[in-house]
Amino acid sequence: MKSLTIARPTTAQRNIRWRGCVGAAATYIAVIAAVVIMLAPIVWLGITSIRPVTEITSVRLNLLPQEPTLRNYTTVFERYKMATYLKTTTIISLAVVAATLALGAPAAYAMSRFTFFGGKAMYGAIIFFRMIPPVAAIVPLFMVFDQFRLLGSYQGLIIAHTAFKLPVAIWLLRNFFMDLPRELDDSARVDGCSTLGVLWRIALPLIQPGLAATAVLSFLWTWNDLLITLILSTRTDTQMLPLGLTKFVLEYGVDWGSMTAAGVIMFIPTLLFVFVAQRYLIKGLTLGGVKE
Amino acid sequence: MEGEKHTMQHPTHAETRPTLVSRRTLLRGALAGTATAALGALLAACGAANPTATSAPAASAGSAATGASSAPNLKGAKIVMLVPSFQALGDSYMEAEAKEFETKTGIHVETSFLPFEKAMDKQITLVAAKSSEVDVFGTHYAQIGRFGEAMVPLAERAARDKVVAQDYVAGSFDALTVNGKLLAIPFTYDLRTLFYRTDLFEQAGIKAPPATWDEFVDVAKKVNRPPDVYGFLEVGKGDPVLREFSDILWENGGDYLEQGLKPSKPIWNNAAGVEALTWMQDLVWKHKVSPPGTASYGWEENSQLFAAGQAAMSKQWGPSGTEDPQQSKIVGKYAVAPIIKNKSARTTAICHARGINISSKNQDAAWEYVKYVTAQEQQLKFSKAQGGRPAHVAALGQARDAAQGVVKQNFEVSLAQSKDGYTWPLFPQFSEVQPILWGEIEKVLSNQKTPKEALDYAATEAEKIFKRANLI
Amino acid sequence: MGSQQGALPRRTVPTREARRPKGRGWGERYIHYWLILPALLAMCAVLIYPLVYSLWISFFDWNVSSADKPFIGLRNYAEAFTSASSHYIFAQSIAFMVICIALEFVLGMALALLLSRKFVGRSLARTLLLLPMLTAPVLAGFNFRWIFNDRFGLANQILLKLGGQPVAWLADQNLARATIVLVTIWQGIPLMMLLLLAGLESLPEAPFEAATIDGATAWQRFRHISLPLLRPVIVVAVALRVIDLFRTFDTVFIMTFGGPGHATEMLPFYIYRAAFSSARFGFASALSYVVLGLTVLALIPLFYVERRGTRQAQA
Repeated sequence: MKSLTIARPTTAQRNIRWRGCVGAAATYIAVIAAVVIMLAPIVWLGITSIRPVTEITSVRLNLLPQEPTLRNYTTVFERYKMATYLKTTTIISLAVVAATLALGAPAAYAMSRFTFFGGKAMYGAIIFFRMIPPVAAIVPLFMVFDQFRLLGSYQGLIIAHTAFKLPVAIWLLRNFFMDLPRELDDSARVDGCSTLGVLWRIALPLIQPGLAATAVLSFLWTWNDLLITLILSTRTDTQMLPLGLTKFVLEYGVDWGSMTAAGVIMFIPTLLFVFVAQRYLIKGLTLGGVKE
Repeated sequence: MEGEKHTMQHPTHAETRPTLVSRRTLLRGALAGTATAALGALLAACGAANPTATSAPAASAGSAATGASSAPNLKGAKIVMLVPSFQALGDSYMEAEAKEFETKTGIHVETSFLPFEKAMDKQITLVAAKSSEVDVFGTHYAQIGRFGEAMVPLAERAARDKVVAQDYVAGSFDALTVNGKLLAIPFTYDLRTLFYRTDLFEQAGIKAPPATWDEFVDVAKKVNRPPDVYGFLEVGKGDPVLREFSDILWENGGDYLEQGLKPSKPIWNNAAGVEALTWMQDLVWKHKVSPPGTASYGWEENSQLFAAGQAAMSKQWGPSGTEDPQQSKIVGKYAVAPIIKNKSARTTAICHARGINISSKNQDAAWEYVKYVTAQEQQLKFSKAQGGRPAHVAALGQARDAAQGVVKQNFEVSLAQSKDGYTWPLFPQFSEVQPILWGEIEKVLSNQKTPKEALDYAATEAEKIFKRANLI
Repeated sequence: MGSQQGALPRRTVPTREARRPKGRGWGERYIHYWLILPALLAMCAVLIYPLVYSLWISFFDWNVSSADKPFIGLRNYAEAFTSASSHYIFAQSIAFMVICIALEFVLGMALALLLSRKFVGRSLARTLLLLPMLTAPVLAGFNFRWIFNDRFGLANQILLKLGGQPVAWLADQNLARATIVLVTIWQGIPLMMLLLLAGLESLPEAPFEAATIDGATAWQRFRHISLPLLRPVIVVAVALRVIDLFRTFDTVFIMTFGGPGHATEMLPFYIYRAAFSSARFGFASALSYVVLGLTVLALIPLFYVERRGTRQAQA
């Protein structure tokens, strides 16, 4: 009955609606295609990790595992030192997050609020530090850490990772602070707050998204970084996951099954944080325009 | 983000897009920062110490300590060792061995394993930093040249503790001696043999494994079923391809240098050398009995692909991956034959070895450990744990006698050919030449250059390096 | 944009008050230095000394395997600029960078345009597309090495299934280069997309409405309105990628180790090889400084593009 009361759409209107539908369908198809293509490598990693070795070393295509198994996952803990890698990497990554925020936030705040002698140089230095090819710093870095007996220790790894993350973290946090209106600071100051007080009580609580983004990114970059652990860990118990991953490609054989299982385990934090903290992450990445 | 827009004014961002970083500041900062840093670097460099001045004392301190203290009390000493990984089996054995050593001597050993190339790179870094962080180095013929100034000379200690050359495989002490200094004690003895698939040979009606180059190509063609099974697998990249080329070069009667192992003019680009490399290339591109992916294969791919049943023949260091039912599809389906000969039967025979970092502060304890793991009893145990060949002659004999099946066969075949064992030149500058050579060989195997062009280029570059060091 | 009036170029010049709070004692007066000091010390201790040291040894024939390490002035730099192998690596690195950035830009822009449409699940799609850029480069390298494995890799299995012949991806110079480019852009596209998307979302509506009324096609609007307005964003995105691509190391290290025959060897790996395969730390250090110089050189044209854009906008 109802349809009768509604004026029939004109041909032109129908055309528009029809085109809208096609447009929407095309959008969905394109988006789904893009997501599938971009994620296919990760999915394949997951699929490989639950295949038995005999299936992995087969020339013929089987998209799905014929005899799924968790054997690769148990192998990485039994034959390789996955538990040690996980423990070390978690401790170090968390410590780096804490240190980066503790050192980076005050510096970023100062740079966003004050003009002072050396401020520009500092800003330039931060960008400059990002341009250094890490390979260039390997040997000298090793020498410094050797002199201070920091090689192969948790402290050494934490200090090095923190120093390499700081430029980006400061840059990131500075952008968040710049986004805050200074009037808030000024009014708090009028009320008798010291600079530290303003930072602690006003500014930091307001840039919680920024802190979250910085924390997540520092965590992931530390978790994912190969070079520093390759250079600075001299003992098995301070080797981190990315270095552990290279061990599945041994001198006399490639253990793809174990590598993919370890890879999936290594990928969990990325997956977790991307979903839990996506809003902060996206804001952090675009605001700072950063990527390590 | 999500449509979250900024409602307040911005202190410095002048654009209408406050969500994005100011690109001008980024660029300007980059340029300014570079200038600042470069200036700072120049100023500070003036005050830095001259690296030439600091290298000498370290070396003399090392040799001075060698003669000292005959029976020190080493209980409670702590040493760190960094060695190439011998896969899960070998590594876990070495960890257990370190614990056993501690109960016997009171010396605590921390172990660290890395894949071969990474272990060597790490050691180079340690040496460059004059670091005392690691005491014991796992080293190898292929690397020892680079460590000429980096490891403790061991001759005196060895003589005192009766660690003598006769007990180890022939030539190994000489090979580990650089600039007249013995730097490491042999640990394992490595030779390659030809592994072949008995089942595939039977199917193709082949009675015996090939012994000459011509027979080899014939046989490989008969068992070739690409893309499922190839006739032969050869390694084709990095340091490993140089080992493959070495064998073939020597088999063809060629050699690297005019005067063998002594620093001299490169001759790898003479007729014998070019023919050898052409043969290697032909296996892939003319006879098509080796996979086109050869130029991307190192040891890892080589053993994995053979264990996965992807080839009928392959040269292997030993049956470890191929015997592991978890990794291998060919258990019980292969046998071992001597490697192929052409004009000569020369073959690569090399050792892993254990030495001491010249900057180590625990050289006495480190020596105790090196002595312990390279002695007959421990080498035998290590061999039993992971199937390799001990470098200690007596242990080698015992290990051979105790072995069974294909492992025993591998022992016998490889030891029979060890009389033709040979190595590449071991002086430091040759280590510098090796990456150039292997890069050129990779180019040949991936069809970017002809064998003649590639070997000529490498020879020219090598001559420059030798001349710079006043060797020729 | 809540308050457009606030977005006018109003650079707040801090008052003297803000800059230097008076009468609060020494600590408060120099508070900005105190706030920066810990971070600055940490960075200098760990980053500056290595840089200075490597600059210093770049003037020496600093080789681990020889006892004497003579001063050779600028000879390492001369070699870096004149040797045939350096030229090859320079050309290769620059070509790699240009190709990667071009592909990342085109594909990143396409994705950004796609995601700037309104549809259900848009936020989920954007989140999923972030995953590649936050994957560890080591893992990405291994995973692609596995996918492009010439025997068991997915790529060849698909080729075989389609009736083709398996291809030796990592053993052919051009295919190996293509594979490295593929991994690199797989990790690089999401950042490009995010930045461009943020840029697109902040564009003012008015010019588009006017252009639509004037009958401009979608392509014309994109070409003549979006692109020019996005220029600042594009410059930032490209600059960031230039910096990052000149540092690409992990992928090459894991996937090809520079091979076959140096076909995938870029500057960072060349430095690594000079230092570790040849033990020539002096030469490796000189190369590092050349790379830094090149990065700056690559940023200068961008700086001019940007300045010109600003002047045009002001006119």
